[in-house]
Amino acid sequence: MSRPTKIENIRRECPLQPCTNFSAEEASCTAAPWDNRRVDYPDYLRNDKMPTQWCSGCGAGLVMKALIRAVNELQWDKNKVAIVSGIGCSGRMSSYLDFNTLHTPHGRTLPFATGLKLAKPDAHVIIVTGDGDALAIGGNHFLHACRRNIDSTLIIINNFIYGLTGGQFSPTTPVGSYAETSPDGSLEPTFDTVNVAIAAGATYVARSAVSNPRHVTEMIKGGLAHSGMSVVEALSNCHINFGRRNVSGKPEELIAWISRQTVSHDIARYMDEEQLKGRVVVGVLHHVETRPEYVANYYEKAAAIRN
Amino acid sequence: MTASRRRSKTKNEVRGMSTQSVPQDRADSDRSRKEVVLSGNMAVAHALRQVDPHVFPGYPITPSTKIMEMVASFIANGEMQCELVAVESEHSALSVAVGAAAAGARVASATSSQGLAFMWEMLYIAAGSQLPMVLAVGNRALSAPINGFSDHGEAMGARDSGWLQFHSESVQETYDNIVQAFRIGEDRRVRLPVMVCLDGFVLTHTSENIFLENDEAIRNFVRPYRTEYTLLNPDRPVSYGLGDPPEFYMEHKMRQQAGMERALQVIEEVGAEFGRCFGRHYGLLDPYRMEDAEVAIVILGSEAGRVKNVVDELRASGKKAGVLRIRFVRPFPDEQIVKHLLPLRAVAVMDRSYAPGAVGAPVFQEIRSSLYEYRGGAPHVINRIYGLGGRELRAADVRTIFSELDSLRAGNESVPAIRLVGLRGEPLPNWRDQQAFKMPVGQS
Amino acid sequence: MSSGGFSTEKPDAELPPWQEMLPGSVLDQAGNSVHRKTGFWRGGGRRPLLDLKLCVQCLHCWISCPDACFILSDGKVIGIDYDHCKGCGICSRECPPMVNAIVLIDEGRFR
Ligand SMILES: Cc1ncc(C[n+]2csc(CCOP(=O)(O)OP(=O)(O)O)c2C)c(N)n1
Ligand code: SF4
Ligand code: SF4
Ligand code: SF4
Ligand SMILES: [Mg+2]
Repeated sequence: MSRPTKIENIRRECPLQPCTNFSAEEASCTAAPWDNRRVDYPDYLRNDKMPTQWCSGCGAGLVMKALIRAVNELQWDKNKVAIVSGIGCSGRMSSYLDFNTLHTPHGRTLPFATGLKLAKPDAHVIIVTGDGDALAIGGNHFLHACRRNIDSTLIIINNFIYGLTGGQFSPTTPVGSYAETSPDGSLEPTFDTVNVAIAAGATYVARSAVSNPRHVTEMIKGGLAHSGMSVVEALSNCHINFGRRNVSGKPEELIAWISRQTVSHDIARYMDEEQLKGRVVVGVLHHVETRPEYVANYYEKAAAIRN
Repeated sequence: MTASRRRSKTKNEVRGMSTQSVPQDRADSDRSRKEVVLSGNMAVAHALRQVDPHVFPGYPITPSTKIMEMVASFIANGEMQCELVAVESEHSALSVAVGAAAAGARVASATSSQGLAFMWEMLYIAAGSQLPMVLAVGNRALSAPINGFSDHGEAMGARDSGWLQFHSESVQETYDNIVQAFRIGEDRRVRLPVMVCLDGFVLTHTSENIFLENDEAIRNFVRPYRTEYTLLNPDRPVSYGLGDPPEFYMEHKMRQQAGMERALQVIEEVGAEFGRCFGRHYGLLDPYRMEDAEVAIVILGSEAGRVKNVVDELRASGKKAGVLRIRFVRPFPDEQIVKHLLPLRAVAVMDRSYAPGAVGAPVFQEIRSSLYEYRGGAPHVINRIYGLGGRELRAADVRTIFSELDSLRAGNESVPAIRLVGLRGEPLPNWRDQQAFKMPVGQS
Repeated sequence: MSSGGFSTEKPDAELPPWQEMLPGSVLDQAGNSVHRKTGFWRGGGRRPLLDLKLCVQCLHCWISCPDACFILSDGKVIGIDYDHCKGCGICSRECPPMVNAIVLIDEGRFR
């Protein structure tokens, strides 16, 4: 295929045309057609806990709905699903979802989840964390969970900030952004979550953004269906603590800002470095079935030793 | 709350004015100090701005996040030279602190609850290496269950880690304690890290009128930091963190203990000097109407204000009640406490922490064991555990405790030795036989 | 003074009281690991014997000994420090086969 030189050309060549959500700026189209199965959200929620405590317009709600849709599409038994969450705005999700839930200390989701999965290998373990939770205080666990390749799905709601504590910079806060702890603009280089996960050994790694909720659903669904460590980074809006200081305090404007930066994996393939500058590629970025899954491997070995 | 804070300030003013004639340095600072409205977190941050330590590593956690944020903005405004290191966890924060302190830097940080818990390993490293540093702890209950409100659980857990531990009653005292903490911890005779506790929200987030002393005066009071053993000093190379074989470990623990023992004296000296400079005098204890008291409550932290209010009420109606507020849990000023308690008939120790399975909460345990020597003449001591996870302590609760003390004095055997204040439902029926807690009755 | 991080195996009377020790287990002496004798680790193992008559001074043994046991003088190997040699045998292996100036002898033969 010839390499297009202008973004205009990409638009014409998009394989998924016509696509309502696609423009040169908002290249966040879905790679897969979505399932429009009706979802009864209340079936999956603890309705006495509603409304959520998230700020109005918070992207965490979009991710939660996407997760519900993904589980619904897979028709998983609610009793077989375990949600492990940490501390942070994102961590509140375990209080709202009507699955088996485990609310763990800040940064410790993955070890708790590892224990859970080893004790109950049949459970579908889904871990919901924030960028701070997974990459700062829990960064070490993140590497080792990927290395072990435990069958579970880690959803990192990356809102570029420590949301719950009021907006201090996190390992994903873009360089130069303002935060409570960086009044002069953040100095620290950021983590490339996807590449860290791949390097550490995760076998399904995807990135998505709340600007395209159906895409988030697809990415999560892919992760849930995959057997092995799945990491889904969902770029999300914290307009209150990140947006207000940097882009915009309005959720729709911050979501548009996120959307403008994203470009689908399928399209990014046709873009050169210049065109990809300042853009974040979304889609399934790594998917291999070659590494043994830890828990299955463990039980196999254990059985072999016993016999 | 308002009432309690009003009281403590009035008292401080009276304390400052009453005794000595105003010395020159005091008069100087009077002229340039400001009366401002600050929350506890802001007061800590201002104290840190004035002291301007070399390094401040931190990781945010409610309710003490604001301290780190304000330090960041002071640095951004050029008001501090300090290096702020926004690390990835509290474990790293205190590790940075230990590294910096070993390299000869003056270090401060702030945390709460789970954050302090996550510092645990390093708490012992800092104390065992005898590295002075100041840590502000905005007290908050520990998980699980997760709770964002105040109690002293995390601080009490850390009481045996080898850190000095202040508990403040008011925002003003918190500010003053931070300033004094540097002097006390860095004193050659002590050389130990200091924790300054302020109750979450009640002090961290509530604003109060305080005196913000002149920057220069605070800097002069704290003095430039000097330490003998620093890394990267080619004239005197040293190593930190070496292995200690059995024949040396105990002796090194004794060195720590010596620092603690001497701290009692240093605290009093620094408190007195602080009083001379700024007019607010501090000692180890804060006795309130204890002179001729017959019954008293022993308490730490901000709720002392409420108890003092009740004591005023009781005094007005002729009851001889008092409050003994302890400013330090480590080192534990047992002799001084005993001196105040011996003349009493009955005492309630109010703990804002809980030790499941133990015989009462930590402060109660220590006070009772301090009184053991005097068992012939010691008062009855009971334990009232209050305010866990931010549960409100009401004036009515305090009145009940005083009436319990009265009936204990009158020989009523049915007063429970240990009780959770405000607990719904009956306490465990035989939750430790109350007889086991009874101190032998003193001379009548 | 401080322990220097090694077990002295001295009687109590010869050890300093706590007052004379530095706070925080700080050690203010450099280069004192030589005081920690590890030669007895060879135990019933092997001891390297160096034959200087064969040695060609290539210094392979000197660079490859993990415990810095080769004693140099004027840039030349003159002996082995048996107070610290742990008897691993690396030196003997590293000495060029054509030279073979270091042989390993059972420690028992020296008793
Ligand atoms: C050990 C510990 N340290 C600090 C905190 C305070 N804390 C709670 S949430 C949070 C940051 C959350 O950021 P992130 O993980 O990005 O989640 P978000 O709120 O942005 O969804 C911090 C520092 C804590 N609860 N426990
Ligand atoms: S602070 Fe930010 S992340 Fe937290 S609920 Fe509000 S918008 Fe969402
Ligand atoms: S045997 Fe090992 S320790 Fe001993 S001298 Fe040879 S290399 Fe060094
Ligand atoms: S390796 Fe052998 S030849 Fe070389 S210096 Fe050592 S003993 Fe001599
Ligand atoms: Mg976040």
